[in-house]
Amino acid sequence: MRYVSFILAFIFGFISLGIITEYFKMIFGIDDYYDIPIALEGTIEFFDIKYQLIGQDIGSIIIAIVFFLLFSRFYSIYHRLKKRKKDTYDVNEINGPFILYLRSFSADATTKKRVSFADTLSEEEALVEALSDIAPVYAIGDPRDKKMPIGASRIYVDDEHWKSTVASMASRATLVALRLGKTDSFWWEVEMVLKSVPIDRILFIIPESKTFSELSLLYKILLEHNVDIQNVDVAIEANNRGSISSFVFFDADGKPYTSQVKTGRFTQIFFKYTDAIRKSLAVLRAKYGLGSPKRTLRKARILQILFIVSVIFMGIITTLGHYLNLKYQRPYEIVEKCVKDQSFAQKYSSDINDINLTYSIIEAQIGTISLSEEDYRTLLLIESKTMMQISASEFECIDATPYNLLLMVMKYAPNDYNTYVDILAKAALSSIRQPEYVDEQYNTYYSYAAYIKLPEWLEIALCELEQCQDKYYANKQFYTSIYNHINDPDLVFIQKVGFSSMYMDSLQLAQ
Amino acid sequence: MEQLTLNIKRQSSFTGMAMPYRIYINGVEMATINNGGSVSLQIPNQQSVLKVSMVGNSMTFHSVEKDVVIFPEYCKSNVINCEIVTNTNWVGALSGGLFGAVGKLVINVNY
Repeated sequence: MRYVSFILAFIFGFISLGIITEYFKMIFGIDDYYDIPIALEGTIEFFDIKYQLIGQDIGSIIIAIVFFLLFSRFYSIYHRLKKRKKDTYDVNEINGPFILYLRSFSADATTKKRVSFADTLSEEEALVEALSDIAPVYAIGDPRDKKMPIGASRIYVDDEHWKSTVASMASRATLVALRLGKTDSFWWEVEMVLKSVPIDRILFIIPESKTFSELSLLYKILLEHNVDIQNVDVAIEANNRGSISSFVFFDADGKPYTSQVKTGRFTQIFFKYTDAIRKSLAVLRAKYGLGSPKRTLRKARILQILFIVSVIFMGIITTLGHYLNLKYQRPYEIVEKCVKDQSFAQKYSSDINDINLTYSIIEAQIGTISLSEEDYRTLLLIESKTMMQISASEFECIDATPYNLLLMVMKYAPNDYNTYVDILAKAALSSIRQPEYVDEQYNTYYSYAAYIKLPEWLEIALCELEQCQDKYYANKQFYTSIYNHINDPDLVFIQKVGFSSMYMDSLQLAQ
Repeated sequence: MEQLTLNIKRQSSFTGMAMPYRIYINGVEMATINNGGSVSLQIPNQQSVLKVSMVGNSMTFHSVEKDVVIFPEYCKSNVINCEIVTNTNWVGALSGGLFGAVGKLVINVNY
């Protein structure tokens, strides 16, 4: 069980650390591996990706927190199972200062529990940690223990000798700490300690209780020993961490002091239970020259709330950032990216539904056949305006790589750039989402190829395009003709027929 | 005797190996110890507080430090030997010092 706990703790800890590291890298932009998928607003993919992003961002925080809590839980189990061998400590070997911790054995079931999610220590370990600042802590071991529990070092004695051992140890101890209990053995120990140990070396640990029965018995015994405890208001309220409610200790004159253990809500991370005990024992510790923790409950609470708020805030900001990035991805950004970066176009060749979302110029051009007349005319207008202005070297670039036409539009018709790319994106969308409709359009327009009568100006322009040696000049003239006749009512139809002929012929050639 | 010799040995450990520990006696810094190192100090023959604190604690949420009280009346000769052991606190280590100190100090005093 111990090794299983360790393995589970290791796995959960490793995973949570990995998620937290990657999350912080993503937030601070250290590693830009996380790309927002491409999706157009209003599409089904957009909504799917939106919720996927939200799930990824917020989900990763929740998973990291859950895994960390699981790591903490299993590590505390492993830690608790790491018990020591019995009979390690011999009373006679203790030759330095020590603190004797006396309690009813039944209290061990309470004190062995972990104090909080952010702590692997049990209550007893936290108490021993705080008291060990003064001296090492020893306790009488429960004979039923198979191994020595973590916490105070145990001295195991048989029933015959335990009273003499306790009495001997109490008289030598630097401090005797007694945790109130119900058993007769414990109250015998209280009586014995009060008789034989100087009062300023006695510390009572008052656990939380719903009744005053143990406390009133303690009061009675102390009064019988002439300790003026009447006016001391000892707390027995429960805390949100640990079962110790307060402490009672005395000065050299026998004057009693009490201090409540204050833990507070939202302080588990930055104010450990050990610190709470140290703080409540500040007066006793001062007697030995020891200070108390500097951080107050209030500061710890502020820090913890700030931490929680920061994590939530970062999660919200990251998710919002991703969502805004997604929301404002306009089609022309997609096409532009594909134009400039072929690897980008290839990378986004599938989305979460395995539908091809690559908006390349080629696909956009294929899809132009399905554009409305108005859009097609606008496309022709912008292209012709651009082609009329480009230089010979720029024409060669476009001729070599059709993608560069977009960059030329950006240069020579900047006011129309957005419109141009919007139309191209519309065409590309159609090409990808409605391939059957696009094919149908090609077939329809292609069927007119044999019968169409070209207008005279277009016949002349096409003829010059074919015959002219200077391709740059010829294209410039061709597009000038298009531009001059842009409002011709048959222009769109004719261009579509012509384009469909070229496309269908090229398909047949490819086959 | 008015003074005692306090020999402090810091056990080698992985946790905090790059950070020296500051040694304070009654709040006064007396020495620093590196990983695996040792130091010998002269302290007054009276009850004193030995504090061991890792350098860099001011930059973390949880400190790696420990106080112990030295009781000279238990000292048989005029030499007290101390051993500082650093144990890893995995919750603190994995959370980068956020949920706890990265290490826990144990100081064994041999009179």
